[in-house]
Amino acid sequence: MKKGVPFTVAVMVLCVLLVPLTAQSFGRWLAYWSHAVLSIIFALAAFLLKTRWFWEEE
Amino acid sequence: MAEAPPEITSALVLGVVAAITVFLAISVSLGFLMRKKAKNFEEWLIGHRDIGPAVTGFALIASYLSGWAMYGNAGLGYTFGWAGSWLIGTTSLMGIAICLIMGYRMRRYVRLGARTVPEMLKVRFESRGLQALAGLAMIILLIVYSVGQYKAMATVLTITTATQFHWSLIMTAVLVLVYVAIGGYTGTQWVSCFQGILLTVVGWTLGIASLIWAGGPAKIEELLKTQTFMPPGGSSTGIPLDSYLIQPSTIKDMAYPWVDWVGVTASILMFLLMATGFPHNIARFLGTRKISKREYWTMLLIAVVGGLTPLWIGVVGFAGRAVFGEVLLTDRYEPMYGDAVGALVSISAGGVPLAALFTAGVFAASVATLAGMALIMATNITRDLIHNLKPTLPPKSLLWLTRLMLIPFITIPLWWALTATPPVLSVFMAGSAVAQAGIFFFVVGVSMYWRRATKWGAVSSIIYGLTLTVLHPNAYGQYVGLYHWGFWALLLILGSAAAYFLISLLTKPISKEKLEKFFPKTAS
Repeated sequence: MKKGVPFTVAVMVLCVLLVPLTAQSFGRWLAYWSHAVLSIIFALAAFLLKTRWFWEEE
Repeated sequence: MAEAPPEITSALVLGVVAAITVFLAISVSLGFLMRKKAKNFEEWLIGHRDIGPAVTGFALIASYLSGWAMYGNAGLGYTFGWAGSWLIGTTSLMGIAICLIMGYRMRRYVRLGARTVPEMLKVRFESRGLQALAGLAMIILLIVYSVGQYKAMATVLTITTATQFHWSLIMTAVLVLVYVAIGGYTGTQWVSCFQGILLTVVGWTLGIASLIWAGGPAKIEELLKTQTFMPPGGSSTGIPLDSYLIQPSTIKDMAYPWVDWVGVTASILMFLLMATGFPHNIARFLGTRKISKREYWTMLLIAVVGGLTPLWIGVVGFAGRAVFGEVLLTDRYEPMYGDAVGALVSISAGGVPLAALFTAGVFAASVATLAGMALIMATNITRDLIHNLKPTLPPKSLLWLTRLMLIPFITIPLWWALTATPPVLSVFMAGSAVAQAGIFFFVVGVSMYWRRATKWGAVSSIIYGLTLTVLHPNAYGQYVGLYHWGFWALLLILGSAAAYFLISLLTKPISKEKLEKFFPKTAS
């Protein structure tokens, strides 16, 4: 396994798990916009996986 | 004390008509410019495979942001408060990012002759039968999806021009026909890119304007606390709208994702998979050129800005509920109900200019999407079924047949919307979205990366997914005890995945020689 991949995947999984947890714990606006922040972190991690460790040259 | 929704003025009607005309003119001009470049049916489908990251990114945003995200989200926020967030798609960006990463491999199949998503499956599994089945599944699911688009545009027309709702639906169908007839659907990627930019600008502008109009976030939060859940056309339940869950008071209420955490989990899973599962989304990559690492990050930036648009439309719904109260859920607003809130807030918050801009946005999200979907369905018939059976048919005849097939695919969802208008358009469209996520994420998306996938795995996933679609809690599910949206959605998505993986592993693998062209050694 390439170094850094497990950590990045763990961050992505954590972002998904935190979505219902923030809704339950904070509710209202804080949960609403925290979902957006979690989604941005998830997207950044996914793009990092693609461009750094799984890039496909044609 | 709740404020009364705004009245319609002649200036507003004029502004709306002008906005639609300007939008049509820009789309048609772009379509006309690009049409000149397409020499045949194939070029018309995929262009010259020279589309860069910015156009691909915005085109993906445009195809993702349909009448659901651009209009229905406001209805969700209005009707269900914070709980509506589970279908507003606060995590949309996660799914869009997955789609941007997985979808790029579509280019490999274009090189091997694929021009549509079902054709990609024909190439991957060397099966015309699978191509036809996937085309058929797409038609069924896109018809359902189109009904919601009709409601979105017709509601805006009714609210802004005081036209009766059924006439607004017919006007929407006419607008789709006009849009198609004058060539708004050609030069797809470029027109979609323009629409993606427009939708993003409109969503952010209206969201921020509505936040200010309603007195700010704290005021909205405070007023939402005083509101209670009332089903469209029903009576108040006394259940406060202050939570991300709404306890069901009747068995019919189980057909929503927010009744418990099982439903919430299912909705999060749906948003993770559906951007890739939507065939009209992944088709955006058919015309994409080779993209560098740096350009990939440009696409992410566009995805972040565009992917937050649904949240802003949700904000419009919260603001509308805080200011107008529950009036839109009464019979006075039948059959639009809470879905009317987007147009009403745009008028109240920004007057004619914002209402006109918003109408153009909804037009882009629903009418242009409807035209695009009708085109995909027509192409499914001509290219994936007729051409499949009779490959010698000349391209010119195929093009004419495609145009002819647009008529039934514009009128079938129109008839559905006229005779059985869904009370909350996004809840209705989510039914189709679950099926598209459950079926096509695996059959199309995973098949591009998983060598061991087989034709029979894909076929069983499609058949299982379609069967479960019919068993939606609001369709036939109630007759077999399937009342719970969350369990239904999980059964569909996880069941389709299980069918795909298990049957693939149990059936004969594709030979290494054949797999070589899909998974060349130079690529990972």
